[in-house]
Parts: sequence; C-alpha cells; structure tokens
Amino acid sequence: MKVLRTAWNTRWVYLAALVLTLAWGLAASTIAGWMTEFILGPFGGEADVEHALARLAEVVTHNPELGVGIGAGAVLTAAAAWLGWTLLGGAVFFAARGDALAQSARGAVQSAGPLAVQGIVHAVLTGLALLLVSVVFGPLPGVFRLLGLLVTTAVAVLARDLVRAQICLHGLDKPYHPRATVQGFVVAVKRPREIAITAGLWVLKMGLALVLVPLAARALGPSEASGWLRLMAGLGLAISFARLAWLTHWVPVELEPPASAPDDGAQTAET
Amino acid sequence: MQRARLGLCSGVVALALGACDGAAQPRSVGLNVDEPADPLRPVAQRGAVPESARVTDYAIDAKLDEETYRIDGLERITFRNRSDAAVDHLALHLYMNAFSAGDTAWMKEGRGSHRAMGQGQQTPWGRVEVTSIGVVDGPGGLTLQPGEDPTVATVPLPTPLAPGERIEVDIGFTTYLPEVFARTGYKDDFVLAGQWFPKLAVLEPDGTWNNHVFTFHSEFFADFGNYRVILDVPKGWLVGATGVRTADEEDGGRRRVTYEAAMVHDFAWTASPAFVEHVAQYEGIRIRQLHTAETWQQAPVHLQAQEEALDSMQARFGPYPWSTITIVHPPAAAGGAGGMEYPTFFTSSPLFEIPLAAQDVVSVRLDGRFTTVHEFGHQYFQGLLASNEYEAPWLDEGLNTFANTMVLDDSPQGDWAIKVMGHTLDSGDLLRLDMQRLQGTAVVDQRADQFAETEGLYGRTVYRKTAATLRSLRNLVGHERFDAAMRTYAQRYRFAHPSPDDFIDTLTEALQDDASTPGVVALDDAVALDVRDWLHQGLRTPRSVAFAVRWVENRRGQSQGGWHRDEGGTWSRTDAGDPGVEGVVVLERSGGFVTPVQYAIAFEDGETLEGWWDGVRTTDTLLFPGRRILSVRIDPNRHLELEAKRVDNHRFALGEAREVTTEGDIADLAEAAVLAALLGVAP
Repeated sequence: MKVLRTAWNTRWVYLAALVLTLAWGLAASTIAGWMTEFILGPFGGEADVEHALARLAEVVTHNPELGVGIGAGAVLTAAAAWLGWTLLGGAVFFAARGDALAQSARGAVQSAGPLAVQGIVHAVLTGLALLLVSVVFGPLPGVFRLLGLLVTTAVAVLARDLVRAQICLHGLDKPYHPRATVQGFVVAVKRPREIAITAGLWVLKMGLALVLVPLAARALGPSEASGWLRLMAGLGLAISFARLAWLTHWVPVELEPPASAPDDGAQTAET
Repeated sequence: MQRARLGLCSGVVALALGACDGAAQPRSVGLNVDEPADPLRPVAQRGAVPESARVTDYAIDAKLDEETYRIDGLERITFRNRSDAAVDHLALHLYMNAFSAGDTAWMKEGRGSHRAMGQGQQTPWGRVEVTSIGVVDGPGGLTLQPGEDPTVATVPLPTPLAPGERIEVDIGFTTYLPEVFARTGYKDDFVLAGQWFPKLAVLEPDGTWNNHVFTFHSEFFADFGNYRVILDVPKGWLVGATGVRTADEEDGGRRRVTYEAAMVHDFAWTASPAFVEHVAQYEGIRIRQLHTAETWQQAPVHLQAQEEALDSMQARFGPYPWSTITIVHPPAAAGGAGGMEYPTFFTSSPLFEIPLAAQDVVSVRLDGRFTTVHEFGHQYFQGLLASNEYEAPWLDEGLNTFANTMVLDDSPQGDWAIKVMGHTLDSGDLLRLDMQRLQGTAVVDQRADQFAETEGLYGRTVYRKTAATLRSLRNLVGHERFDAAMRTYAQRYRFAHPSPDDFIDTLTEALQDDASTPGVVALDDAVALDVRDWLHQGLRTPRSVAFAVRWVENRRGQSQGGWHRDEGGTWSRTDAGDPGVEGVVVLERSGGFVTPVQYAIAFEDGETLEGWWDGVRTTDTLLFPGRRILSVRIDPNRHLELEAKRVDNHRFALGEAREVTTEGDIADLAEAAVLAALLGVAP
C-alpha cells in the first residue's frame, strides 16, 4: 500500500510525461503522413493488402528520404528524450516523496546537472560492463551470454536508479564525481532482490518499447494501430514511474565516502 | 508416384528447427540407404538418355597430398568426333589456372575476391600443370600450346580425327589447390575440388571448338560423357563426389575411393575428416548431405528444401535422371566454396538461425534452404540442359531462378521469401524490388564478360531480370499454357546444348494460339501478345516496363443542346437537359517496353470494369459517358513483375476521396518508432 501511495504521488508528473510523449509521437506520425502524401501525390500506390510490405518497400526504396527521416526522427527523439527524461526522472523522485508539482519541477531543475553528468558516467560504465561480459561469456552457449548481459543490464539499471535517487532525495557532497556512479554499481550488485525487481520492471518496460514497431507492422493495411501504440506507451511509462517510486522506499544508501559499503540497515523499512 | 519413406525426421533437432511441423516434414531420413549400383535411375524413372549425346568420357586416377593440397592425376579422355568436320587439334580448359596469377582473365575482373571472400594469405594461388600428353596406342609427347589465357590451351593431333571417329588421350597433370575463396580449393582439412582437371572444350557441329577463357562470371560449358574417377585420400577422410561410389579400399594410411558417373559434363569432389554424413532417399535417389559439426543439425531443413525442389522440378521439367544427389555444406571458414553446382553434386550455405521466439516477428526463407533449391535447380539448368554459361549465362542462372520461384510456389508453405509480423514478401515482390535498380540499363542476353562491372548488375540482370521476364510472360499468357511451354523446352533439350534462339523459338511455338497466327496469343478480342517480340524486348533490349494512370477525372458530359443546322440548311436550337458526367481516363506507357497491360476502373455505381490495353501508343484516353469514376488501376493483377514502380499504377479521380492506406501505415510506423525511442530511454 505504501508503494502504491508513493506511486500515486507521481500522478501529475506522469500525466505531464504522458502528454509530452503522446504529443511527440503524434507529431512524428503527422509529419510522416504528410511526407508520404506529398510523395504519393494523386496516386494510391499498391492496393493489394497481401502485398502491404512490398507497397511500403517500394515507396521507401523510391523515396529513401522517407525511411531516413523516420529513422533519424527516432534517433533524435532518443537523444532528446535522454535529456528530457533526466530532468523528469528527478521530478519523479521529488513527487514520490510528496513534494508539490512546482516544487518537484524546481528540484528536478536544480538536480539536472549532476543527473546529466552521472548519467553520462553511467552510460560509459554500462557500455564497458556489457563489453566485458560479452567477451568473458563469448565462448559459452548463447543462452548464458544472454543471461549474463541481462543480469549486467539489470545491475546497471539499478545502479543508475540508486544514484539518481541519492542525488534527488539526499544530495551528494561531490555530485559530479564519477565515484558516485561507481559506488552505485558496487551497492547494486549486493542487492539481488532489488536487482530482480528492477530487472523485472525494466524488462517489462523495454518489452513494451520493443513491441511497438512490430505491432505497427502487424497492423499494416486498413487497420489502425495508433490507439494500441499509445496505450502501450502509457503503460510502459507507468511501469517506469512505478519502479522509481518503489525505489524511494529503500534509499537512502550512502554512495559517497566514507568508502565503507552501505549496509542493509541504511535502508528504510519496506512494506 | 512411389516414394520410399524410411522414417520420420530426425527428432529433436529437426523439431527445434521447425522442420517437423505438419505436412512439411522431411519424408525420409536415415543412414541405411545403400549406394545405388547405377549412376542413372532405372529407365522408367529417368526417361530417355540419348547415346548420341555422349561425347567425352574421362577415367581419372588422382591422389591428394593433404599436406600441400596438391593433386597428382592421370586422366584418359575418350573423345568422339560427332561434328561434321575433321578435327586436327583438341581444345582444353585449364580452369584452375584462373587463380594462377593476378593478370589472368578471371583475376583481372575479380581482383582477388569472389562474393566478398578474398584470396587466402597462406596459399593465394592455385594452378594446374599438364605434365604429359599422349595418344593411347599412338605417339606420346604431344605438345600443349598455350592459349590467350592460362585457362585455355590446345593440343595438335598427330593425324586429324575424322567425323564419327574416336580418340583416347592420356594426360598427366598436377593441380595445386588455392585456399578456397572462389568455389574451389582447401581450408584446413576441408577440400573442395571443382574444375580441377584438364577438361575438353565443346566441339560445335561445324567442327570448331567452343573454348572460351574462364572469366569472372562465365562458369562452364562441356559435353556429356561418363566418368570413372579413383580418388586417393588419407585414411579417415570422408569423400563425396559426382556420381555413385563403386569401390572403397583402404591401404595403409590411404583410402582409394572410386566414383562413377554417367552422362554428366563435369566431375567435382570433396573430402574432409570432419564431415558428418546424413543420408536420405527420394524415389530411389540417394540424397547424401555432408556437413561439419557446425551445421549438421540443419540437415533436415535442407532435406525438406531438396525434396520440395525435386517435387516441383520433376513435375515441371521432367524426371531427374541420376541416382544420387550429394549436398556439401562447407565449414564457415571455407564459405567461398558454398553455393556452387556440379553434376549430381552441389554446395549449399547455412541457414539463418532466427530464435524460435523471434520467428513470429521475422522469418527468412532466402537462406541456405534457398541455396539448396537453387543449386539443385542447376541439375536441370545447366546439368541437363547444358547451355553455354559463357555465352548465355541467363539460360542457366535465369531459367533456374525462375524455376526456383516455382519451387517456392509449389511448396506446401506457398510462395513467401520473407515474413514480417505476418506480412510476406513473395518472389514477385522481391524481383520487382530488384528491377528498381536495373531501370533501363540491362540486357539479359549477352556474354558473361560483357556486363558492366557495376555492383550487382550481373546478378540482377542474369538471374532476376530473366526470372521477372519469364514470370511476367507467364502471368500474361496464363500459368498452365506457359508451364506447358517450359516443359516442352525442358524435354526437347535434355542432354543437349540449347541456345538462346532455341529457347525463344520453343516458347514462341508452344505459346501461340494456333499455327495460323505464329507466336501470337490473344488476350482478349482486341489485344494480342506477340511472344517473340515480347521475349526479344525482355531479354535482348534494356527497355523497362513502366505504366502510369496519368489522369482520371469526371468532367461535364458532352451537351447535345445548342444551335444545329438541319439537312435543309436551317439553323434550329435544341435545349438539352443536364449533360451529366463523363469519366475520363488517360493511361500512359512511360517505359520503352511495349506490352499489353490490364486495367481496372472502379465506378461510383459499384461496378469494376477490367480490360486490356495494348500499350502500343505512349498514351491512350478512355471515355465513359454518363459514368462517374472513383479510381483506376493499371496492372491490377500484378502481371508485370518487370515493372519496378507501381506507385503510379493506382490513381483516384480528381476530387474523389482517396484511401490513405499507405500514408496511414507510414504514419503508424513513424509513431511507433518514436514512441519506442521515447519509452526505451524513459527513466
């Protein structure tokens, strides 16, 4: 119940994030639709539903700018979103704590610098960790490699959550020092239960993200996919917010010197 | 159709690969299929094998040195002069010399790489050296005269060989295999020996030798005959070869295996201690696969592809005459040996192993299983219909690609090549996409070395444009009629050397409605197709097929009112009512290829009118007084797979509401991509 209450506290931030997300998606959809309409002019293209893939392939191969535009839009979106979510991620922690919306926004803006820097450090460390696991697990069968990469990713996600929670909720004496993220990894690997929960929620969110394009592909032809796409995006966001809200229940964890590792006593009681 | 079914597919492995679902499962697997005694199937199964086609026999005794990858051999060639003129010399192919230096005809084009595989570092060069030549029971010490390229040579005969006479010649040779990058050679303990022995060229009926140099795309051309080959390899090495194994002896650390083949025009073999053998049987044909540990689990899938190819091709092009098929799966390190055909023996390539969970999202059939279908297809186009691969590569590669798409179509799964979330791209879709890259640049019927060296032009033209041409013609004249014509061609030129004209003549004759209108097929009362001209345009010109619906509108109908003068010269005025509407359609042929094409006009009253346009003029206008048109499609039944751009084949009438399927699909995909990106990096 306590977790649900905490999650409920983030509802306004969630709604803001949802509106932004859906608006961004709608903008992309509208622009792509206009581009296609402009390209097709008075023509209707291939009409046979059984050849829907061929129809798209033909339009895109004759007009590669369309495919490049959609791809570039997605990449730019990811880059912009990374920055945007850095701020919004901070706001979630403040809101989960019970801060008002304006206060949460202010707190998020004030924490933006450390969140961004630690985010970059985290990205580099995660990349290195995944590379290391790929090399070490390379000779093993594929299933072990996959498992190794999954666990590493889960640890990395938890480490990032820990560092962000620490920055927003308790602050760091040296908020720009990479050691905070390193310490986040060290703490994360010692918490298998939290790793499992984080991994579960993260995989769920990523699963929803990954299924969006195949879902749109499945609906090629006269059927409409946009309603489902938006619903799943909203659900994915909610899962993400729930994970962050849940995290506030067992932070703080000391991520800065003294170097002594944090112990379980440092976490708050958890229902 | 009687078919031996020795067992179910090989259990768990095949199940995991998805090969055992329902009716598509392989029908026969096992290791207890005896080697056939005769390299040809029984007469009732193989059909006629004309003795007159037997020109050149080979008896070869060859020893492999597994340390140096050198083959020492002695061959006896028995040659029959079946031409109308006396022959004063023999012409030899020394194909392996293509790899002997950087300035051979092959290497000048290939520049040391083939299908993205580069020359090996350890042994980049390969060659064949003729060590002795002599006539049996006649003078020895004949002289080999080098040709314009190291891949060809001639041997003057001591006395001319008259028409109908035969001669036996012994040739000693040593072949040095290169590290394999282009079909033939070795890698570690794997050997694939193709084009490895001195081989006679083809003697044309007028007594001239057809002995082209070996160029990058040209492949091979030879006469039919019988082969008896003894291969001496290290003990413990498994051997696969053209024909049937008739003896297998071990002597100390060596193994001597004898293979015999009948009425074939080449002989290739492979050997490795690492092979895993997988044998099955199909209507008395022994299908033997040689895998390494990397790929042996894929055997049932290749077998299924092989069986589907046999089902389809025997029904379409007549019986497969030989009693064996050997499929070699080279190890990954020897990938350059993959995807090549020899009589009764070919090399394939691995499958794309998409995880089971992902197969609902994406499935691909154009992997090793298609390679198996394609290389087997060459048993017909060029193994059986032995066209000249140098002068007319499309007669084997193009016709074979066409046949491969028919195999997909005939298979229980139907014609699909790629599936994405339940949507498929079929052969026609892929060919059409390929045609986009070819617009107006490619003539099919030309020599292999005449193709411009632009990326992919040869493959797209020879393989795919030929297939698209034939499939388009098949769609236009009707499948059954076209299939019967192809069957006529395949039966007429079994064990022969058909030329491009033979093919075009046969189709022209077989497709015509009746002898009084030679080469003409009526498509409706007013529109007919001239088969010879159509094939000429498709195969011998770079003309592209392109149509568009240039204009569609519903204008005011023609009024009958106004002032008119009657017969007496008196002007009178008539008042007409509402002139109504008139539908106007302008069809356009923007490509140079003149072909009949169908159109479909959807009217507001719900009727759809289908008709043929002869496409002779570049534009034609169709008028429909009193009828309001909604939209017009040209080639609505997708006949013309040669047409790369179909976007402009469908047009809505001016001012009519248009469906937005394409826009909607692309908008949805863009939204999905952006939402996925947003969600993927969400906090």
